[in-house]
Amino acid sequence: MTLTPQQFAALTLEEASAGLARGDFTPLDLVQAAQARMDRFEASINAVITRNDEDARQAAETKTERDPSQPLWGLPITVKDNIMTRHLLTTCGSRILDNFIPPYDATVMAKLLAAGAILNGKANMDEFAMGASGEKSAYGATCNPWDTSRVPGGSSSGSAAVVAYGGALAALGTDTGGSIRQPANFCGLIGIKPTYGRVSRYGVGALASSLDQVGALTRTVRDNALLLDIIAGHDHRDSTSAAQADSAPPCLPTVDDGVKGLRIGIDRSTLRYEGMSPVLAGAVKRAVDICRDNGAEIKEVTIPLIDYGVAAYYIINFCEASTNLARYDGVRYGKRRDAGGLRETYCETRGKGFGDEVKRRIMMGSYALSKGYYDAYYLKAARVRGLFAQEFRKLFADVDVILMPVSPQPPRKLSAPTTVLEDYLGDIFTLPANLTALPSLAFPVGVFEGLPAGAQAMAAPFREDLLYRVARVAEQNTRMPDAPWTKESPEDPK
Amino acid sequence: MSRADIINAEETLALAEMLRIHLDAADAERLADDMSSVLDYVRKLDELDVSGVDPMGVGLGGYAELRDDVPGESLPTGELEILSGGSFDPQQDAFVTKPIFG
Repeated sequence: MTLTPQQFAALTLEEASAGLARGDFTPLDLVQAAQARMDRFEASINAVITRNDEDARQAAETKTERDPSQPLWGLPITVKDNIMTRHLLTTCGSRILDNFIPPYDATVMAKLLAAGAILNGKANMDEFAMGASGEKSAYGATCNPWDTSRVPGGSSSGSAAVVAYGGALAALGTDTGGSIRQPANFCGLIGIKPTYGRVSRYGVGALASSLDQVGALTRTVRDNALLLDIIAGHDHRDSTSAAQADSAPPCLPTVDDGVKGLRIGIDRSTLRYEGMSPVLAGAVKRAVDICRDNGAEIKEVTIPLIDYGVAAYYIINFCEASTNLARYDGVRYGKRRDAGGLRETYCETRGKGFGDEVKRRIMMGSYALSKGYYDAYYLKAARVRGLFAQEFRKLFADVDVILMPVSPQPPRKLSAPTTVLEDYLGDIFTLPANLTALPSLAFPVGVFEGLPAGAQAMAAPFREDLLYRVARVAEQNTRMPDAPWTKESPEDPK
Repeated sequence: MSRADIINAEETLALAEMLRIHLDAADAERLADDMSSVLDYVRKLDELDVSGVDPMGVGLGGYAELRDDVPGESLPTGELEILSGGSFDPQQDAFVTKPIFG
């Protein structure tokens, strides 16, 4: 049986795996269908920086005997382009790495391959994960498959878009302040930011080392839980990897346990926040109603210090980014722009290799860390973070899960005028999870005015299992309409 | 201190020079304005009393551990050659690479 690209685009990881087990199609059929989707949509969506067509086909051709111990056997998956992939170009969305071929796989990549997955490409992203729209890549903006005049969100822009239009069955992204959850929300997907330390950061291009986490973007809750269980776990090569990652409850076995008896917190002031879209507020209310109708106890909570989260987060982000990006000097790897002397070469390499947002953050970070300003900016922000985390974690004495909006506004039009500060303020609801090291999951609850929208759920450390139960109930009580690209037509999505 | 006083174009150029990032004057003007608006905004943190709060107590949460200080397996020579971009010279027990400059 041949598999059409449209049929492939409707498959989940679980369905594709079952289809392979039944012999309905082969890994090569899946890979070729995914590539046909990319052939059709990449010119208009630009979700992928590097396709892995030849190697993916070869990998698929070698997979002739299904291995039931490999849960991702034969399944095409894309990873964000800040995740190291051995012998495959890895740019972090930047010109400064436009020639960088890693000699090793990130731990998460190695785990996907060990589970039998086939890497079919490297997803586009905002440069060095600095962005929340998908417009700040050195390789061009990514478009939202639901409405190609709008942003898909970022910085895991390509990861979200390629799964949404069906060029991959799932994707990995990274989340520092919302960079998985926000594009997942904008593209109608499930997106997880795990507990800090649950997933290894070895081999992931660092933005802010105390905030970054790797997670999955998928079309279904069960797929997402499956992927998290595969990529999670303690890694001795990552000094921030938590030993507890090995003993945390796995997520897939309990995903269908429902929400009866769970205590769900909601801070209704977040739904009336200045600039909050009534449509998106309505999506969160729908999520609350679904939980209540399915037996959860709904409790009112007050999220502490939410007005200060953006300021604390961005100072920490800038400072850590400034330090992390000092390594990109063109000497050991990456694109070197030889300008005669050492100092001149550094300046040209970094000046021409980095985009504006990257330069801005590096400079603000160094400023905030410099003598005379360190106490006022970085130390202050770190203390505010500590206070924020203390107060936030107290909430989980009374509730099991907190529901919040993902974003105050729906995805804006591409190239719409916006200020730097306006962009940063868009992260107000996602960055608390990163500041507090807590897990958070974004999930859709419908399509409103033509665009998907949903909510996010947060829980105590290592309780991602509860998040998936909430999202699964929402999924079972939501009928997402057919996406624009599921039509049997050679046209691109509108 | 007003927002305009936080950082100007000249200071931005000096900062960029220290960070080994080439900027032209127009870039410096634009970045100075962006940076001033953001650094002005983050001053709202001064509204909070955070005395006594541990600045390093989040994220690692006390559960990150150091691995045992024991040697691991080295990568095979072939992999190390790829990593170093050079070739292994057994006589020197070292990898010989091209010079960075010259």
